[in-house]
Amino acid sequence: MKKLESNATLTDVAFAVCTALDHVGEHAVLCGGSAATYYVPEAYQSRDLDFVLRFAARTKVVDEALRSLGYVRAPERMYKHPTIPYTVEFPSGPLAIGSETVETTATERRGEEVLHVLLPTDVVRDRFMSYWAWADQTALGVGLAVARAHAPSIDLRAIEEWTDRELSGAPAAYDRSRRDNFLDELRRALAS
Amino acid sequence: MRKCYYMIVASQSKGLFGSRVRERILKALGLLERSYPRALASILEEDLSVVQRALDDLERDGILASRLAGRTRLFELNRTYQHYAPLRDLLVRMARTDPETISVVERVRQRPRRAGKAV
Repeated sequence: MKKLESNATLTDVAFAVCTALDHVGEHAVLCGGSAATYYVPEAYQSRDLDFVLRFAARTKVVDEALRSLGYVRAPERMYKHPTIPYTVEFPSGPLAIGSETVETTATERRGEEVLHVLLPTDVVRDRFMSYWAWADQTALGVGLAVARAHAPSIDLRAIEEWTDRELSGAPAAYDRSRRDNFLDELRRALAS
Repeated sequence: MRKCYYMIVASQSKGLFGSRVRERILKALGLLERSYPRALASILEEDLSVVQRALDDLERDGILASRLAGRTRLFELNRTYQHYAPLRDLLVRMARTDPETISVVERVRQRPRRAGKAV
């Protein structure tokens, strides 16, 4: 297994962690802001990597796989490395965006290494969800940056239909005008 | 003659959310929408450390989210949680049928008050 150097990038850590877990039979998917950093590192640098594991993941096995990379479990369900600034976390699953479970993810390969990560369309949805829920302008900007950088693979119609479903499922929960603003900006980003 | 001794141990229901404190916090937040640890500890008459621990656990589980407002950490239901809408509906329903929760949240002033204005 490839050793992590202290100057490892977030992408290096993401591949190393996912590969180490794959080797012990644990499937982990990179999500959240770290998935956005994977697609647009020049636009956004997350400092923590979020992976969602399957429900029945074995904590001891995960601990040992990460320990082999130098990552040890710290309080708050977080793993830290003595020389690498990026932390690794495993938020509770299932992998979901809004009220919907994510069924399909991307699998990237780099030499012998593997990385399971949200699809670009889902990273856009995920970042928009943070903007929708918390008015997080950074998340909006990052989501649009992913859309611009990966325009051919962004499924605009899927995003539009998903926002409609979220609004109809919980009309009081989310701001319709914020959604409309996002979709306008997304269409412009995809056209640019 | 053989004597039998029975020990009665007081036990409290852990409720739907794993602990009584968690359930009380969630029901209160269902009605208040957002609050901070010291206020919740005060209205629920629980130890601050117990409330803080429960809030931290709920946040780590993705059910609550927090943000800083000045030096105060405000907690609310996590709007990006997959089951946010049905959970919020359930908590509001549970709270509205629980006189104790209604009574404690009624003690909290939510509406704005201009600085310096008498209570």
